[in-house]
Amino acid sequence: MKHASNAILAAVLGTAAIARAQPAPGDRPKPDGASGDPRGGPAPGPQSPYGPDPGQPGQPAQPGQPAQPGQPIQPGQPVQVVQQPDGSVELTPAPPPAPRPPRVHKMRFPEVLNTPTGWLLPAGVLYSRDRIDTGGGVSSDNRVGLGDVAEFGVSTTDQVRERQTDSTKERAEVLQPYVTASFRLGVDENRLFKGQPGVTLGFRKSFEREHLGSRTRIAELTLVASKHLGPDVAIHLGGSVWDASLQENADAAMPPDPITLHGQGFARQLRAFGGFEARPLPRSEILVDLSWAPEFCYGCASAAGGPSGAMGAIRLRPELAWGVRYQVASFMHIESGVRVPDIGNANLLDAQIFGQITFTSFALSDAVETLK
Amino acid sequence: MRAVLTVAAAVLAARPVAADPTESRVLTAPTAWLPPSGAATATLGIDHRGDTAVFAGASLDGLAELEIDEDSDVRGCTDCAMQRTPLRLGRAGFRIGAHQDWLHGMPALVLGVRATFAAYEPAVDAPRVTDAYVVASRDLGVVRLHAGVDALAASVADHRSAAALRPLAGVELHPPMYPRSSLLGDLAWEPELDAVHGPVLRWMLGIGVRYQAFSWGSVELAVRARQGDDLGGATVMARFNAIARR
Repeated sequence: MKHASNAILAAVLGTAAIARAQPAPGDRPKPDGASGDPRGGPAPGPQSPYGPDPGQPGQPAQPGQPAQPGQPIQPGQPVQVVQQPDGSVELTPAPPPAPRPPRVHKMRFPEVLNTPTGWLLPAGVLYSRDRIDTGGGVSSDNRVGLGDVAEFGVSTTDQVRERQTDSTKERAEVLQPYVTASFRLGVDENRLFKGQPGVTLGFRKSFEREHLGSRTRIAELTLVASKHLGPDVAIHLGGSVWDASLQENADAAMPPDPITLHGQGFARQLRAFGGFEARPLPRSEILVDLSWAPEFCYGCASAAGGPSGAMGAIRLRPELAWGVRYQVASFMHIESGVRVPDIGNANLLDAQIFGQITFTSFALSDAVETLK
Repeated sequence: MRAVLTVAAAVLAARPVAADPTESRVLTAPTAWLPPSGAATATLGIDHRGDTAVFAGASLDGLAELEIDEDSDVRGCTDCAMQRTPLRLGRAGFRIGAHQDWLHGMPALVLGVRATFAAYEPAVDAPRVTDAYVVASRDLGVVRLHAGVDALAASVADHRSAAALRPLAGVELHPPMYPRSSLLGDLAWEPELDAVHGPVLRWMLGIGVRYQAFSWGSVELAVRARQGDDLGGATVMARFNAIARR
C-alpha cells in the first residue's frame, strides 16, 4: 500500500510538473533556442550543402511543396484531408502557401496632357487629375481601371469654347463646366505579341449643356496606339471621329433644328492627334501633344442660315501643349506646362500656363488582389 | 583689334563654374538658368515710384520651372501723348530647358512662355500680354552671356497685335576681385498698351549691380530706361532675390 501511495504521489507530482510546463491555452508555442533560450529560434541542425531535404519525414514542408504524411500538425497550421486506400482519411499538414512576391505598381497614364494614350489604367486603380490654367479654366478627370482591359471615367473639361461672332478680334471663351463620361477598352503593350503597341478604343460623350439659350453636346470616338521606343521614350498616334450639336434658341416654342458636325461631312469630323513622352530624369517626363477641341460659334450659324451657314457654327480647333510631369510621391504627380488653344492661327495671345495635380491609388487594386 | 581678340580669347578660355547659376532673369531679360531640383525662388522689388514686383518660382526636378508673378513692367495709356500708367499684371510663366554643357560645350537653353492671368489696374480695358522666348546662356567665368529671341503678343480693349519677334540680350560681369558682386546689363522688350491705337512694342535697357549677400539671397540695384521716355523717365529699382534649396 505504501508503494502504491508513493507511486500515486509520484504520478500526481509528475503530471503536475508536466502540466505546469505546458503553455497556457491560447498562447502560441514558442520554439526554444539551441541553448534553451525561449526567445531563440530552433536549434540549428546539420545543414546539407544542397539545402534541406523536402522529403524527410518530420520536417516542415517548404513553401509551395506538398507535405509528407506523418508530419506533425502544428496548432493553427492548415491541414488537408488525404483519402487512404483502405477508405480511411488522414489529416496531414497542408503545404504552407508560397509567399507572394511584392506587387509592382506599374503606372501607365491614360493621357499625355490632353490626348488619350494607348495605355489603360491597371485594374482597380483610381485616378484623379485636377487642373487650373491662366485662362480661368478648371477641369477635373476621375477614372477607374477595369480588369486591365478597360477604364471608365467622368470628367469636366475646359477645352470646349464658344464665341458669338466669327470676328478675329473676338476671343473665344471657355464653356465650362462641360461634363463628359468616357469608356475606353484596349490591349496593353506587348500583350498579344512582342512589339505590339498598346491600343485603346475610347468613347467620350458629354451631357447636354445649355448656355445663353443654346444647347450643345459633344462626342468623340478615338483609336490610339502607344509604343515605347526604349525604356524612356514613347510616342502616341491616333485618330478621332468627332461629333457635336448646337441648338440655338432652345427655349423657344419652336426651336430650330440642331446643327451637327456630322451634318457637315465625315471629313470635318475626322482628325489625327499624337503625343510624345521622354523621361530624361528618373522622376520627370517631358510631354508634348497635339489635340483637337470643338468651338461653337453662335452668331455664325444664324448669319448664313441653312446647311452652308452651319459650316462655321461648329469647328474643331487644334491645340498644342507641352509640359513636364514630375513625380512627387508614388501616389502624386505634378504637371505643368503651356497650352496653346488655337495653334492653327498661331494665336500666341491665348496661350495658357497650366498646373495640374494627379493622384493615383492602388489601394483598391491591392485589396482586390488580396481577395484573389 | 588685338586687344579685342585677346579679351575674346581670354573670355572663351575661361572655365565655367561647376553648377548653373539660378537667377531666371538678368534685370528684365530672361536667362536660360533653371533652379535646381526641389528649389523654390522668390523675388521682391520696388522702384522709386513705388511700383512693386513679386516673383515666385518652383523647380520641376531641375528640368523646368513654374513661375507666378505680379509686376508693373507693362505700361498702358488711353492718351499716350500724356502719361503712361504702369499696369499691374498677374502673370504665370513656364520655362523648360537644358542645363549648360548638357551636351559638351552647349550653352544652357530655355523655352519659356509667360501669360497674363489677371490685371489689377482699371486704367485701360482688358490688358493682356503673352510672350514666348528662346534664350541661350553661357557662363564663361568672368562673364555670363545671354541671347535670345522673344515673340510678344498683346491686346488691349478691342485691339490685338499679332506676335512680333524681338531680340533679347544680357551680360553679367563678375570681377574676380569682387567675388560677391556682379555688373548687369540687358535689353528686353515690353508692350505699351495704347487703348486707342493698339499695342506697341518698346525696348527697355537696364543696367545695375547684384550683390550676393547670402548664400541664399542677393540684392540688386538697377536703372531701367524705356524707349520713348526721356532720361528723367528712367526708373531706379531695388530687388531682393532668395532661393530655398531642398
